[in-house]
Amino acid sequence: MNHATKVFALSVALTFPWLGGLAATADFQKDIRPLLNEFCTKCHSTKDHKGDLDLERFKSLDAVKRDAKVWLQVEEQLELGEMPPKDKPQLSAAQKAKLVAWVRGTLHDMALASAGDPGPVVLRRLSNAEYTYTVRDLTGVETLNPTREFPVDGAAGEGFSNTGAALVMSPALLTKYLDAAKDLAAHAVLLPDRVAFSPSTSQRDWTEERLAAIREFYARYTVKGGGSAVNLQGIKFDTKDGGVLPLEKYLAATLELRAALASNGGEGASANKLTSQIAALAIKHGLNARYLTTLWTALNDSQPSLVLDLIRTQWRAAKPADAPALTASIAQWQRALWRFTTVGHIGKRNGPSAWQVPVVPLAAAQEVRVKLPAPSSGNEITLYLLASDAGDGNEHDFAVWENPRLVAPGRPDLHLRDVREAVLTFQTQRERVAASVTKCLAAADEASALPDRSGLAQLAAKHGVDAPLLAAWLDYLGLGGGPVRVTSHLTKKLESANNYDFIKGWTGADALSVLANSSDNAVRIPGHMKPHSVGVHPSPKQRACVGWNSPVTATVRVEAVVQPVHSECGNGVTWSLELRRGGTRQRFAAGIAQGPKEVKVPPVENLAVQPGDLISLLVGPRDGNHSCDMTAVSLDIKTTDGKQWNLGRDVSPNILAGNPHADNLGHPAVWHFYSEPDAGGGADSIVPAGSLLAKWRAATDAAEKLRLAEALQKLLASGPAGLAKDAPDAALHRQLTALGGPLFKSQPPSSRRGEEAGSSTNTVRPVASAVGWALDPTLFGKHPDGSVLPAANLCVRAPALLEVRLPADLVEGCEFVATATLHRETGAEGSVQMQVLTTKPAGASGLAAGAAKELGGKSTWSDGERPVGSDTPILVRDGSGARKRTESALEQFRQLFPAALCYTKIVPVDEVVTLTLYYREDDQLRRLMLDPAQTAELDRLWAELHFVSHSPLKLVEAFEQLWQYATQDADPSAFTPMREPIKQRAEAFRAELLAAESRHVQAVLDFAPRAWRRSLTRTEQDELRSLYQKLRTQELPHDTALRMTLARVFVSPAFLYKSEQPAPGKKSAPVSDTELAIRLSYFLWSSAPDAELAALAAAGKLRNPEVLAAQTRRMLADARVRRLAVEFGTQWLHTRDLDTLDEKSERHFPTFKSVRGALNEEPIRFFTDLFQRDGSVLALLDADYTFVNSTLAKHYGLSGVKGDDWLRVDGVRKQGRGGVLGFGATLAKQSGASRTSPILRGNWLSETLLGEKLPRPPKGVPVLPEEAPAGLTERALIERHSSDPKCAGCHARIDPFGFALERYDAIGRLRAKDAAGLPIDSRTRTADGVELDDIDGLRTYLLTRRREAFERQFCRKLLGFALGRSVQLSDQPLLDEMLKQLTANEHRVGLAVQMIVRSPQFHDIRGRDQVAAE
Amino acid sequence: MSTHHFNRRAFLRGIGVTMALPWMESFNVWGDEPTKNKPASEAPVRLAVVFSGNGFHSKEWWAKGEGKAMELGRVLTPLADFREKLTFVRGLYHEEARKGNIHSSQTGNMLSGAPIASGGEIRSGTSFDQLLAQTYGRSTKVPSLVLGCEHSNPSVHKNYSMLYSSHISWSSPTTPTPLELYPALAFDRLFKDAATPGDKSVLDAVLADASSLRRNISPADQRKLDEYLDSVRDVEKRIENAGQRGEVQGWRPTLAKPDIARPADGIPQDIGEHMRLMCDLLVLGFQTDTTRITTLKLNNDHSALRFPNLPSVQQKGNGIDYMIHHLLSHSDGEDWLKVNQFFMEQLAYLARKMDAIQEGPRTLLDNTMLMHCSSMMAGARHDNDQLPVVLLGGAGGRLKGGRALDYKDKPDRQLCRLFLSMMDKMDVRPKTFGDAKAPLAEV
Repeated sequence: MNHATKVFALSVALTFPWLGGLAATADFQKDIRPLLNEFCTKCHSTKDHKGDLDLERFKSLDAVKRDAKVWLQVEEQLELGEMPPKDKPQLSAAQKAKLVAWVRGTLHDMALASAGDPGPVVLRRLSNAEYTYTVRDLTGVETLNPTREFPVDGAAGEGFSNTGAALVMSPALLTKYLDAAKDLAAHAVLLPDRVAFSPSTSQRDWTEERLAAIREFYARYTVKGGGSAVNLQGIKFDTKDGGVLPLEKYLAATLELRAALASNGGEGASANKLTSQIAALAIKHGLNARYLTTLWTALNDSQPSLVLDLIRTQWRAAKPADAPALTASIAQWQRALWRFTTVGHIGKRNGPSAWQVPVVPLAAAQEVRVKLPAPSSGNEITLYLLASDAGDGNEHDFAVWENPRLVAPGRPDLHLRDVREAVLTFQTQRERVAASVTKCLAAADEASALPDRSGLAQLAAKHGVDAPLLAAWLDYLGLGGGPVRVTSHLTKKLESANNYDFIKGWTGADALSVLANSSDNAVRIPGHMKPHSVGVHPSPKQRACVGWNSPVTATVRVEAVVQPVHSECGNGVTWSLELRRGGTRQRFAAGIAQGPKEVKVPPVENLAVQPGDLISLLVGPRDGNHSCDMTAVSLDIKTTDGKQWNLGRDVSPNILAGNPHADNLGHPAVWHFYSEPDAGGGADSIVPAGSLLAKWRAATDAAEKLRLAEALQKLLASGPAGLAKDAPDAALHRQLTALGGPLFKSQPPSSRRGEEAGSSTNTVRPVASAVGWALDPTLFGKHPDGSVLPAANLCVRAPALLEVRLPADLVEGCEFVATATLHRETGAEGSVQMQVLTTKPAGASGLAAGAAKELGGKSTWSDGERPVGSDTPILVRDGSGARKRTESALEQFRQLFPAALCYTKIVPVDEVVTLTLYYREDDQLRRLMLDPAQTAELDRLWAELHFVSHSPLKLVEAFEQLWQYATQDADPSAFTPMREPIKQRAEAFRAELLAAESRHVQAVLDFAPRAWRRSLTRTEQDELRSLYQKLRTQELPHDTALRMTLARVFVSPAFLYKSEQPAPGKKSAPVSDTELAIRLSYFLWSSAPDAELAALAAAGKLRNPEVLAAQTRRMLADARVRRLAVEFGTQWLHTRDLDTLDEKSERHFPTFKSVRGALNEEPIRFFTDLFQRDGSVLALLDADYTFVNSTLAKHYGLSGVKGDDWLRVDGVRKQGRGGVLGFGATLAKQSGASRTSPILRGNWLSETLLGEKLPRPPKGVPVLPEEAPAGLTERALIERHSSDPKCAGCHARIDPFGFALERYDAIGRLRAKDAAGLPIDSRTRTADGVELDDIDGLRTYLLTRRREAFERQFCRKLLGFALGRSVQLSDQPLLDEMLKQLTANEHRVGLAVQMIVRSPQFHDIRGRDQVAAE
Repeated sequence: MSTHHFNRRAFLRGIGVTMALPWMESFNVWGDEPTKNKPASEAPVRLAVVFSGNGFHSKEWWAKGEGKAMELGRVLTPLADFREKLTFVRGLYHEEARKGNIHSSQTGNMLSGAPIASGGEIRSGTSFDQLLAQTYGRSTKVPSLVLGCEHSNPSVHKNYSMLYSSHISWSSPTTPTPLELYPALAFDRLFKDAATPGDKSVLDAVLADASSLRRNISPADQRKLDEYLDSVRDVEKRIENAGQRGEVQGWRPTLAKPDIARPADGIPQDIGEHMRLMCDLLVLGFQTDTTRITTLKLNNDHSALRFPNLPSVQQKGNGIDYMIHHLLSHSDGEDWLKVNQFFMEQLAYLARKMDAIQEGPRTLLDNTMLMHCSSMMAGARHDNDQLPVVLLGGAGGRLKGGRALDYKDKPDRQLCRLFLSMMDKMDVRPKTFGDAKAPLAEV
């Protein structure tokens, strides 16, 4: 007997209230046997043993004391008044009192004698609930529910399903356990050095879990944002959607720290104090202390640094609210100095080396190209030529604008130096053009009859016009130009495409081709080639063209169709339908075709063609990207007199017959397959429809023509005054007067200039001043120090801002182009930034961040990286000291402010075929923030990701697939450098897998003691190992063998059963510490001990009463005590699994199904709360609070509860709730399917809450009618039934309780009328004569008259649950003591638990050979 | 106390196990192999026990007359087509069931007649179907199938575990045989080849665990652990036997593989559908000779089933949804009768299905003993002085149908005598069973 037992034995001797303090004073032989003989043993004799009871055999008090069960039964029968039977002689009152007193006294003696007996506890299998909780705790996976389809466990003992007797095993159940074990093992995730568990059983999900863990790690340090899209063949990827340093928070913290230091007297802070201040600040704001320190140091550093100085200056001036502005400034530089590549092909030839790479915005020279903007006002366009000192002073900063000029396609360049003069020349020429309109048109009219232009000079002379000007008119009008000559035919023959010999055609470089399908088959090459169709494919720089060279003079209708036929990828194509005649081209329509839809070009009607005209359909690559640009084209030309040409029909049978190709009508060289550059193509010289010139062209009458020509001349001379901007004649005016227009492009004003500066051979003198336009020509060609430079160059000393005004009509359509650089000698050590701006900058000094930009293009997806520079580079000479200085300053910035800390996407999808499954780039994070332990954690997460996903092996496959894919339309050799590393990584990984096998086996060995709740013997360890080996020899792979070994752990009796080892002999003895820990944790948590409890047990400390009490308190406060609420609380109240209760009529209670889950939850919440905060046991009766969510509140009619969250509501007693009496769960459970049952409720209250024993119902009970006869309340009906003398005895005891609860309907709602529509009467009178009404009356009655019975019942049930057996006589002293202590200690439930946990019953186990003695 | 070794536990000898067998002590033929007095070419006799709780309508459970002329009470009318194959037995009872309370203590021993332990203990007796499973049932893949259509109730009622209310099959006096409620899992039990590679090794290992554990625990715990040992051995045996069927000479079942698909997972919402599926599986088990012994518990004693699917007579226009089965049984109304008939329709469905399967000269029904019983006569009276029992089928020609037997006023009317008779037809002949010492001469 241990210490605790002694204490109890002592206190038990002092009070024993359940027996009313009686001792067995009567003498058995003298006083009792005669009574038994007279009233009992006539029936309960050894011979008859009626009711299986033989009282005759008790010949001595010792014999009595050996059979407690019988005498407990006798006591009960006497108590209930069941015996002697009513029809037999009855004991007198005195006799009965004597007999009862003796029985009680004797039982009392017996109880004391055996107090603390651990009792018979049979080997217990884990109940379904215990199994589930244990498995969840072991694996950490809360979603596991292995017993979902197991048979329901039975209950025994005190009515709980944790009692061994009711927990059976059978072959069918064992099969389920085996399957469940295998399923649990399927949740195991094999990691490099351990085995973990997952809610899932698929490798894919396991991988996702690892990814999530890494992302979660990154998210501790970084924020989302800063996405920059990559456009790859039309598919947009976001390469950067996270991993960003939350700089603003850090900057705000530095400002806060600075303010704090200033207010504390500032300067004097010691280094140590500063460190701790920074640490505190980091914790306060959730920042990384290490980086905060680095940032603080850098901001306070006085070492000069080009970019950082800008930030420091701003920081020093910043107020606490200025962190966003600081962040914005830094972000601008981050954008300039960092960029992001696509990571899918890191490692390929000329591919990127990393995701985040530095941009070096330094250059020796910079090609500047600026498209001129629209005129700001009137005819004026202004540019600003800026040369700044790049923020470091202007020593050596001599900057040169080399050859600044205005460039337009198809025209000679106009030097900036010459602009002033050109203005004058151009004006003169325009006047000349305007003056000669009628003459030129008259000449043109004649020229249309000429076969070619050989007579042009003559004609010009005849009409007195400038010959080149006349030629320009003719070109513009498309007259007399003679046939178009195509010079860029495709010449290479393709005899078969993709092994289809019926696909042939003409090709050029870079997939440029025109192909035709001569068959009836539709095939993929890989674009679709429909039967008898023609398809074209552009190259990155060339359009693929199909042209029809008119063999006739006719009026035609032109139809064309364009359809991308490889539309799964690529960015689509550009197309245009054009007419070329002479030197002109007229565009009918143009557009973009993307996606599989065919584009029908609007038909061109009534087009007059003459022999030599070329109608072409041109297909371009669109943005230089020709991937997947196979495009089906169709061109159909019909004359008004019925002739027809169709591209597919004419050429698809034999496309290789020639290029040009004949038509079907016998004309040779009608169809042309050629190419032209994708850029340019000339201005679209289309005579605006409805304009004077269009009318002139259409007119046939000579007089009319002349009138129109004169009107046009007038228009050109005096301008389009009064015309709307989009009027045809306004457009015509713009066209004919622009320098880039059709009449001037052959003879721009500058073309007549010599190279010699300032000289002019122009015969036309300037007619007006050009001062104010552009720049003074004398500024060019010389250094500020006076030395000579090339004539067109402009040299300035930075900072310098030049304003350049340009006349719009002269420069429309031009680009400003120059090369910006440092002067070779005087600027060798300079550093400047040179920009051409369209708006005036604030100043000319300082450093601009600029932005990274890609230089050059990418044609196929296998190509390497595009070079990247800055749009505003700092110009420094290569190898100069200035360059070195600048480089290092920029790097300082980069080191402090990386644009991203890590690549949080991890799974890149930024290439069409990605060769990186999981990309890790977090060196900045590690460098700036992580300590070695954190780095190790991150490394481990990454190792697990690769291990779980088998990515190194998958990459081998992926690489081969990519290779196959690349051979189709790219250069696979670009990927060759990746092959070997991938192969080596895979080999290394196979070795890793192999090496991990033994660690996995060890992991199972380490897991087994936790699962078996005890340490393993050497033999058991060996046996587990050898099972694994045996399974391997059965040719099971490692993974399977390991999982089977794990399953074996789960199906072992050591896991499934809570076995305890008894001491030999007949005496009870304490269980081991480990067994005690198991008892405790299965009592409070229905699960195995956690690490803390197990460790204390292993250390032999659990037996220390203080440790045990502390653990009990800890466990009661833990969230897992909810399981005690479910397993003990709701099973005691019979509401367990109410959420699946299907006993209610849906017809009568349509809402029940939706509320039963909430009804089920309320008692669980109530009990959990009670245990966690060590509440009063009596709260079960008198609580003025309960727990509801909105569903339950609505059901109860409680207002003000919203949402699905559960919350405690106070003051509910006045609304009919609070405590078990008001639980909808109990009220509903103890009701019928369609109506209430006062009998069920009363019986439940009597038996379950008060622990009363009721005699069995008599045989031949009269049958209740289904429904109350009219006018009779349900209650009256029951009262009538219960008044039957056979029934009255019991019903008088139970029915009143039920009647008091009649104001609750069969699903626990308050009601005013019963099902028959009659008013409820909840007044009643209890069997012991108390008048009461409603739940309040009942509650008061229970709390006063029956408080002790209720509390004893609670203790009894809790003890029965804790021990997993029935409460027996020898437990009565403990129950008495519990009652006493509870009364003295505010009825705290924790005390009841503690007393049970301390009790010998709980600590001891019966001896191996001890036989039941109750 | 004597110790008997019998087939089921013969293996235990090897690891030093002896079993205490209370209540079965009187049963002294354990070691005997069933006496085969049937030619091997004949179909075996099958046993199907169907149970429903809470008894029947107090006035409508009766049968009179013989053969085609037999008259049936209204509860039994669904069986009218099978009058010539029907044996109605009146007046049998269990003495032990009259003790204890009015529900649990007379259900847990329905098929054993054993005394029932109260006060938190679980103890009944091995039921006769399980006794047969442990001997006769060994020659099939699944010794016996124990099916149910209602979850058991995990509580203690009036001092008796509710396990008694929901278990009529007991593998040992302390082991109620768990019921399978999920049709899909019952199907798996019959037809899924349970073993995956390694199962056998795992089972060997845990069997050794259990044997070693057994040495260090108390005798009471040892008995409990024997359930586990037994079960492991049983599953092992099943794995060993997998794929070895067909070695028996002579008779072949009419179906080699199931001809219905595996039922859907879960439990059907509709109780009628649930029962129908379980009936189909019962027949399928027999037809494929996967098992020869099946117990089907349609509902619990103390059943909480409702029958919204059955049109109410008393509340016209509605289903019988207003009262659970148990409370409905307290009346003798038309709706109660309707529910009784619904249960009998399940029996008729089974009989009809079995009678449509020809096994040589006889039908499956002719080769089967299909018994329906309940643990009380009439729910309204909790009356267990005589128990409702009806048998269908011919037990391979050994049971003559078309009879209404009445033992009400005869001595020695123990229900266990009927069980002895039924076991006899399956060549298992214990000298005594439960409280009976001899079979019923008339059956």
